[in-house]
Amino acid sequence: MQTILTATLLLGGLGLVFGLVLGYASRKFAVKIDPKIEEIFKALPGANCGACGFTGCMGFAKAVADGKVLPDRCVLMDKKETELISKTFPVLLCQRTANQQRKFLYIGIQTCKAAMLLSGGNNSCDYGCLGFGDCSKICPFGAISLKQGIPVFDKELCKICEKCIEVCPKNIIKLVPNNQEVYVACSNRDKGKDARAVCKAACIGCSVCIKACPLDAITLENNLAVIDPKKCTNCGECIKKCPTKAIVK
Amino acid sequence: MLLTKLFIIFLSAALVNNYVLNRFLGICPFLGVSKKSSAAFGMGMAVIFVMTIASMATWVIQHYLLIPLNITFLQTITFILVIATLVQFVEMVIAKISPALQQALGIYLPLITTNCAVLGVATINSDSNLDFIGSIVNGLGAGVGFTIALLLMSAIRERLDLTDVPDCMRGIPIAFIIAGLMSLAFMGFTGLVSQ
Repeated sequence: MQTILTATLLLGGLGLVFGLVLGYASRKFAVKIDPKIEEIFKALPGANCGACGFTGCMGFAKAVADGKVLPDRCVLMDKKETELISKTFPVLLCQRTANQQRKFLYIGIQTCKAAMLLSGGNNSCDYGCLGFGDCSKICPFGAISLKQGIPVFDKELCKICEKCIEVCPKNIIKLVPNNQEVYVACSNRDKGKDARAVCKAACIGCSVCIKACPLDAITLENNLAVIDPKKCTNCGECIKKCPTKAIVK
Repeated sequence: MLLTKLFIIFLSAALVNNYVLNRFLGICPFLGVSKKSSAAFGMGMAVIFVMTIASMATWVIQHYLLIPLNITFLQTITFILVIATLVQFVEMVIAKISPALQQALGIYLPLITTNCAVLGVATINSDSNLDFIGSIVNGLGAGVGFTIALLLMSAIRERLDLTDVPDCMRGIPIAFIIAGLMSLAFMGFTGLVSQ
């Protein structure tokens, strides 16, 4: 009887003491977390499985909040759940037209990677899509189809595995938030005249869109207009004013 | 004399009786966190830290509560309670004091709560009747040994990724074979120190 009593009291006592210590510590050492991170963390499964490549759900939530990674990387959540956290979608930052000029006639291996090795590909624009469809070939979900040598993304089929982004040698496939309908579909960083010379739909850095934007959401970086998704409301004023139609919806 | 004894305890825990490769404790993180050297290092540091302070705390509990009250049969459950609380507490303190360190240790610190190697250290400490300092050194040595094993394994696995391993053996199967070979190699330390 004595032993049982001692055991119960000791374990109960230890539990109580430790509980109090932890309770006190959680208040004393409380760290304020960015509410955005907290919100994302709450939406995550909390399994800490590490399959996303981050150190637990908290590390993943921080990376998502910082925009470093997509919420879809979490394997335990289905697509609908990840959409709650953030909606993202890949777009091609190039509007290469089918009849666009070529630098030279390329008859080598028909992949973007191979074509890229030959002075950066045969596209007249050094930043533009080469159009051999490496992205559509690698897509495991068949979400990318080529229309006249230009990849077209299917929002329904895309699982945002980022394989197309990795494979694109020109790095012109980027992820934009789903609610950001307006984006600059050009990657050319040459000066206006040079850009215009190689592609009719290139951004020429004329700053017209910057003046047109009522929310100051557009800035010019290396002769290329950049839209800040946090400020943009998809009003479309920039699209109306853009002389080369480089901004699309 | 004391230093020699402590050195022997350390060496014995780190190499001769390596917790992963000789006692086969903590195999889960050994296979799970050994894909990248950076992660293995973080985990190793966290384990060293937790094993050392857990050795300290459990020794105190053992010698000032369990033995005087003659209830050593509660050892396992008490140690689990102590280690879990300790890890949670340390994590809170680190989060407040050094966010950079918390970032580095990441999820490994809380995960170690359920690591059998830590409980193993505490139990082995009390089984081998080590004194307070001896327990701490044993915990430290065990942690260092764990880190050595983890780092070696991660280095091998990083290289394995680049080699021509048959498809059916890729990943965990080859890792188990490597672990077995490493274990054999570590058995070679037997006799290095005679306890």
